[in-house]
Amino acid sequence: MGVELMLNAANLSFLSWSRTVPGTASLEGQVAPLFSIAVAAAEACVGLAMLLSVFRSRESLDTDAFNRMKE
Amino acid sequence: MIAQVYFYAFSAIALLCAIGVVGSRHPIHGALSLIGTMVSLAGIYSLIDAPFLATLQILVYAGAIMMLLVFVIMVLNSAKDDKTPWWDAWGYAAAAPATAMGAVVLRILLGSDRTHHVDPDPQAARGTVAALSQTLFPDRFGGWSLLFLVVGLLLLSAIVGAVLLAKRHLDSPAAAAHAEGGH
Repeated sequence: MGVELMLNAANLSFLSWSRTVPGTASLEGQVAPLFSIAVAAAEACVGLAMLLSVFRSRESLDTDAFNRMKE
Repeated sequence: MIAQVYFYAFSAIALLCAIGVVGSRHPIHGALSLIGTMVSLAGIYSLIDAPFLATLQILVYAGAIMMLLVFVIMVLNSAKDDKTPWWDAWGYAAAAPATAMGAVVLRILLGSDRTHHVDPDPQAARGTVAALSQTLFPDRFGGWSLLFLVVGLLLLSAIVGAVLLAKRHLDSPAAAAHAEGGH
């Protein structure tokens, strides 16, 4: 969830930059958050799938317990 | 003038919800706070001439990603986390870069020229779908169209990878128990 916050912060930075640039060149700054949202969606999907599959072998959600690579 | 009131309201809600995400004990409270953050950020996006991105943020981020997160939290049946202490040795290691980053942001905010108003360009229809698609696809295969197609491929591979990671193997004991329970 923290990763989503960070990606949103980056999107906000991109958009605020595009707002301060006069003219139509600023639309480049709206393309970057578009791709960032798409990449974040893909990353959230795969990350949650990994979490599900790790949870099945671990029965705990505490990340301090995930200290062994594939048992 | 009214836009400033909206901006302060949205940013206050976003900040409070973001603190709620990292400070909540139960994962569901954190996920709900994250939804509040996303929606208020979408409001800010619509204030700075990006209505398409505001809509996309609500549709994709608050609507799809957060729904996925909430469903996964419900499936994993995670409970309130009472074991993580508020402050331990990691806190000291994390406080140093956090305060450094906060100092940088404060320096930028307080040192900037806050009386400078960015006048919106009256003839540029920024942020609308038409203007954004003119930027994305200026001619047949120019601009960002290749990246757009690659992002589509990325999403496809993410779907395939997620299904592969999360599905039960057909010969695992969990799947056998599932099949037994079905008959």
